[in-house]
Amino acid sequence: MRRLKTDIYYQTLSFHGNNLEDAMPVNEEIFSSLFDYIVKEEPGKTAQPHLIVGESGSGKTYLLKRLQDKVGKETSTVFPILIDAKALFSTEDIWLHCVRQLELTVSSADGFDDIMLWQKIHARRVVLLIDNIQYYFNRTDNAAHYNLRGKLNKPGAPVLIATINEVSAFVTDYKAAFFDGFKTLYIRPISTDETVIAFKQSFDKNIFDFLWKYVPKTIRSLRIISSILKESSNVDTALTKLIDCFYPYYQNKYDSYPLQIQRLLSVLATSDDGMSLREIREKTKQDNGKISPYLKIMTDQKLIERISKTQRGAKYKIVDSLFSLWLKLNVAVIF
Amino acid sequence: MCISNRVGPPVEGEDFFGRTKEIRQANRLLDSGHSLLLSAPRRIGKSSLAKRLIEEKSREGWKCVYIDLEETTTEDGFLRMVIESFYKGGVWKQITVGMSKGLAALLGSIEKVSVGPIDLKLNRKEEQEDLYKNLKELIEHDQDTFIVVDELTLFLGILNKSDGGHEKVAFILNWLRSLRQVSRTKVRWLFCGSVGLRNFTSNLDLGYTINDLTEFNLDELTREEASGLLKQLCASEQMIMDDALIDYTLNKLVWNIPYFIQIIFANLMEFHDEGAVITKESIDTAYNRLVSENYLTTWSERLIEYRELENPARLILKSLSSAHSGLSRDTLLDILMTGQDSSKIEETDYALSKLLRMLENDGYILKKDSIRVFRSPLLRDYWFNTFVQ
Repeated sequence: MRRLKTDIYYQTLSFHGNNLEDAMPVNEEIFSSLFDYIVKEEPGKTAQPHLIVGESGSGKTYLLKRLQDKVGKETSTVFPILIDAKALFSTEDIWLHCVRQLELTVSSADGFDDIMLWQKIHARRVVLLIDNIQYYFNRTDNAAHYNLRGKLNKPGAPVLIATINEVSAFVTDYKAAFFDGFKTLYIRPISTDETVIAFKQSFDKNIFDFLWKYVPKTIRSLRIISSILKESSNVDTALTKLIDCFYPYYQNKYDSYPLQIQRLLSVLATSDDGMSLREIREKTKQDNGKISPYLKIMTDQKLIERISKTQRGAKYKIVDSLFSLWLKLNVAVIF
Repeated sequence: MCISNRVGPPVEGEDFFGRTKEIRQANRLLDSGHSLLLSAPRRIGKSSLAKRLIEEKSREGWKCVYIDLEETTTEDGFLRMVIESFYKGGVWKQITVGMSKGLAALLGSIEKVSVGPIDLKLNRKEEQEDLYKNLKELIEHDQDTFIVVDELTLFLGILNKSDGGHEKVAFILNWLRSLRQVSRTKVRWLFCGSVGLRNFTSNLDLGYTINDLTEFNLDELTREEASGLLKQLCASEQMIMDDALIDYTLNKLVWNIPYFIQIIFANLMEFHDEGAVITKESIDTAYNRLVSENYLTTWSERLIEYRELENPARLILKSLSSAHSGLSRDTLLDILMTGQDSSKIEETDYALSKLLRMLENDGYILKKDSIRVFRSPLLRDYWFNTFVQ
């Protein structure tokens, strides 16, 4: 079964205007360490691939764009190429994409040797910035991954810096080609102390704190809340606007679930502290046999979580608190 | 001297082999008034060492008590075991003139507890506190006494899961501490167990209750002792293994704890019983049997004590069993993060630190430079055969 994510896919405008240098500074530590690595890496050595892991909205794409911009402007020995892996369906696609960017005529089988030759002639090394590499991994087999790793392991071969939404078995399964093959950098959730970076003017801290509870702790969430705060002077209006931002997303998400999951969500949304199996049974008037298998599916999908056991058994709670609120306002069963 | 190959239970008397240095060190600490915390991985011979110390201290005229809490699951059971063991070991005072009626009555009850079941009257918290307080007063503190408490952490771990568990655990640890704090007491304690008491108390913010204990470590046998043990076992069974074969066996085991030597010897005995000569091939076969059969299941079963960390522990051990040369902490973190929302990184990172410390303390893994590897290739190969292959 397809695993649904519980985080927010809402796409804001980019985090920056036309001038990247004036853009909001996010993930500075990762950005600096990668830039230093790219600049200092010896041209003839085998490069260490890097994998940036961060949830949706955490600024991965933006980080790669900033790297591309800064590396392009400030170094003459490196040539950055940014690829969104949604456009990749094979390992060859990676090299063909590079060939196009370098404006080369392909003379070798997949273009890789042409890239190596170009690097030698121009004394520049290609830095491959692959965004959403999970698309590439999911669409290609282990043999293709071994092929890619083999090429990247050649001395002087392009440097790979990729992003992924979560760590997958493609890099942690012992039999996987890229097992132990990446240096992983995690984008950590934004702490409350860091939230101030989004605000150039004063803001209502109480409204902010209230909204912040409902969203993933990412830069995208921060951007959304900061724009809501500019237009809202009370909590209720701000919360309504926040829910409104995600209304179509949550509506689609809810509609995509089978009837029984919709029923359970409608019931679970009525409680802020979670519900035990007994309570769900009482409210749905259904027996365990109808409820338990779906609770298991919902837990596996990370739609709900099983919270610590009390004397009366474990409780189940909707993971995404904003979705829970949306459900409460729109589809919750009134008892 | 003949020794028997006792695989599993603690060895006593003539079956105990080696550990000369550790025994000398433990005796020196006990004689100078220290109470000890024996931290060592499972199956390393903690209980055997404790029993040997009891033998030695008994010979010196000390009163000795051995309390094994492995099968105790309730506070009531704990109290009964303490009362009964102390009674048998002669730790309680005798009824004397001038003793309060309450204490004298309690001593009478103690005698009955030791003979058969009676009601300890622990219905109310006050009654319970009174009982513990009185028991403390009834201990003979001016006699050289050695009390070994085995598997305390295991028991406290179970107790902690019960209603009001944390309070009960804190109470018992504080009570035990108060017994050690009695002025000029000649009672010395040794706490040992396969799950680290230090980790356990620290996780519950109760580290202060054991800060007075002196850490005493026990590791594998020295090469000389390991070789000596194998030679003694061979001699006892008239099995011929020359120095080269003994070296080959110990090199194959790498981590030479008595239990591993004993189980591989038990397997070699099967060849010997069939009249076969022991060779490198028979040692390889015995080793392969160990890693493919059920001799080491306890190492897997006891991961249940890791509770919410059991699954991550299994993930780590599974990966390490495939990677003979070991894995870095970063790689292990990636493994635990697989399929997790990346927002969980901080809690996973913290859990990993805790888990690595537990696995190291319990002898599953060790840190070599910056990588973690299985401490024993025998255990690693067993893990691979059982959970990966």
